[in-house]
Amino acid sequence: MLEQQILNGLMIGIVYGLMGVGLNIIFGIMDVVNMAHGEIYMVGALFLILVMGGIIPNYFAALFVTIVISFLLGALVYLGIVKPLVGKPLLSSALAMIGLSIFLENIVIALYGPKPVDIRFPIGGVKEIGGLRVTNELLTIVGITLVTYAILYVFLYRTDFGTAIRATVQNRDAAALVGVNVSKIYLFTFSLGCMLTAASGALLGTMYLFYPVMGGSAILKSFTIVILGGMGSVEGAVAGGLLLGLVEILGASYISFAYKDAFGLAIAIIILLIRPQGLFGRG
Amino acid sequence: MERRTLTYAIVAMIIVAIIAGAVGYYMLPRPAPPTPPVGPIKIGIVDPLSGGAAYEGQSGVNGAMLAVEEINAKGGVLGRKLLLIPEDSTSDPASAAAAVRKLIVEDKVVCVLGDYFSSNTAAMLEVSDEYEVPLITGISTAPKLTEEYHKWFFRTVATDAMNALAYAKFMIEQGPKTFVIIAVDLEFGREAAGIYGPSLEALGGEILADVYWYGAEEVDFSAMITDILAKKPDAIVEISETVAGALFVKQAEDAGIDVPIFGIGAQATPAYIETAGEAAVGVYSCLGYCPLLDTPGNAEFIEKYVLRYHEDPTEYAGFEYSDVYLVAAAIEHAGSADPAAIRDALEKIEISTIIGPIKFDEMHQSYSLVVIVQIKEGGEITLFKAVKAEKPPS
Repeated sequence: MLEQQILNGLMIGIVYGLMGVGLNIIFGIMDVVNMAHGEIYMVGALFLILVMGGIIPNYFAALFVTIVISFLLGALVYLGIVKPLVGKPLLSSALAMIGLSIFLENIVIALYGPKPVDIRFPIGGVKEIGGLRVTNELLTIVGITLVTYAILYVFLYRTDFGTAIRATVQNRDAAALVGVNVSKIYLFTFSLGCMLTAASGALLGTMYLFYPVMGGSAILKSFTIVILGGMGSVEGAVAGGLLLGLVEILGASYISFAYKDAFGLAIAIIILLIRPQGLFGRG
Repeated sequence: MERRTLTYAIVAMIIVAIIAGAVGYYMLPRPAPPTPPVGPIKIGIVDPLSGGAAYEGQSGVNGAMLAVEEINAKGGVLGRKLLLIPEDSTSDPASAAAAVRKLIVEDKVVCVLGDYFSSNTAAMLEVSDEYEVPLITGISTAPKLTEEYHKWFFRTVATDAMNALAYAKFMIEQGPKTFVIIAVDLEFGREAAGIYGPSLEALGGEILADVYWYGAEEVDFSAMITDILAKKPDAIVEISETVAGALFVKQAEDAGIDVPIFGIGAQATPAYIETAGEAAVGVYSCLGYCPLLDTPGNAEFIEKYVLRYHEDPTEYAGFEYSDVYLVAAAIEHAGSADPAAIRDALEKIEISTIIGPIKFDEMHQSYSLVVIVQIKEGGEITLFKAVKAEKPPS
């Protein structure tokens, strides 16, 4: 049973990481805390439902279209709301994003309704390996997440644009001095962050359900992941996601299921006490 | 000399002003004596319209709204229209209490309906007692709400204790000997789990583990399900709201659990059935109202509801629809829309509604029906049996 629980924790942790990466990449590069993170996550799942219900019934094709639309939404949010607030005190952009989160949640309730929706996944059934059970749905979703991590890794470490992004993370002014177009980087990174967040919403929304207030617990989990892994670090968010997935499942099965969310927060407090910058954070 | 003239002038002016003021005061038109109010009779409804139970709360409001529209189309009550004012309670008792206070103080409603959550209703009835305006719930089932007397609080739905009496007997009749209970960690879940566990044990059932509690916003049950698989119960008692409950049965089916599931809460709602899909098939549920009942007016209600909202009514819609008719009957009976008169009328009233007859006992508890249903292939609900609730032995 322990092996099954650890497997459950790792699988869900991998997908959790994607949620944290979206939040962290934005913070790491432009010091903007995306308080609308949870609602972008929710909108990702909604886009998937709308695309599948409208033009493209195929799940995987619809997921790809959702990801592209989410990137454009991110660009729109950046140009409309975030751009004038970059470099301003953290509170200005945080407040603007809280406004956006309230707007998004309520516009979805008003236009789409409060009803939960089950996103149908095309591959049913269960894989059993050595007495351990995983649904094909979870297995595929974890696979998609791992591919996303791989593409992200290649992009950040093997392309010039990725190198420019990492340089901007390390030192914005120095990057600008050597000719990096920082404002272009900002636009791209914010859109990328929103895209990853929306993708995690679409994937986790498929595993669970879509409902307009699903962003509330997502942002709480994302902040926990970011604290565990370290603010601003992509690798940290992935590690934080894995850690959160494990801690939640093991705490829930061996201590108390009712306090499942509390274990993640408890471990976040412990990390803050012993290593405030997080596991992978910059000291 | 000049100063004295000035003083006289000022004194004269003051005297003139006083006289003018006094004359003016008596000459001005008097405000008309208070005439009987002719505006609509306002009824408040407080339910969760955001948060995890937004769907259930909205369906209750939908039912009430339909009743108000029907009554108004027939000319209203005492020649006045009804006006329904909804407020969002979220899942937070403080917001629920604030919503009731706002409805009474600002909107001047004569009666309040709600809430979905027993914990919210517990907070709301303090407010309705304080402001002396009747509060009626057709959804909250925590027994303790009517175990102590509240002068201004009435309940049309049977309590969990009443339901448990009938439903636990039914579960044992179906054959299972061992059970596990999963329950949402809210007042409703705590109360229900505290009642069903002992009821099943009293009837010879065995409860295999401590109650599995989960948070109201929980979406991942894999840890719980792995544990339940190891315990191998004959049946699962699922005490839950729509979203979490649907996710639990879905994930349980994926994990290979195929024992009967006895639902308590939101299982027989279209949203639960739609979201749980195939996994919902076979799940039992115990309700206070169901579209299959052949109570007077039920068929017409369903027809109108489906036409208006494009889905079958939930039991919350059925109850809050009936509660509006109850209030209208009480106003008619009292011949007045005064909160105190409505309260007195509610104590005496006896009406027949789509949820069955409503009549309150000395604790303001009505004995509605206990309806046991099962979800079949294609999301159809079949009626197993309906019995009138009985007072449980205390």
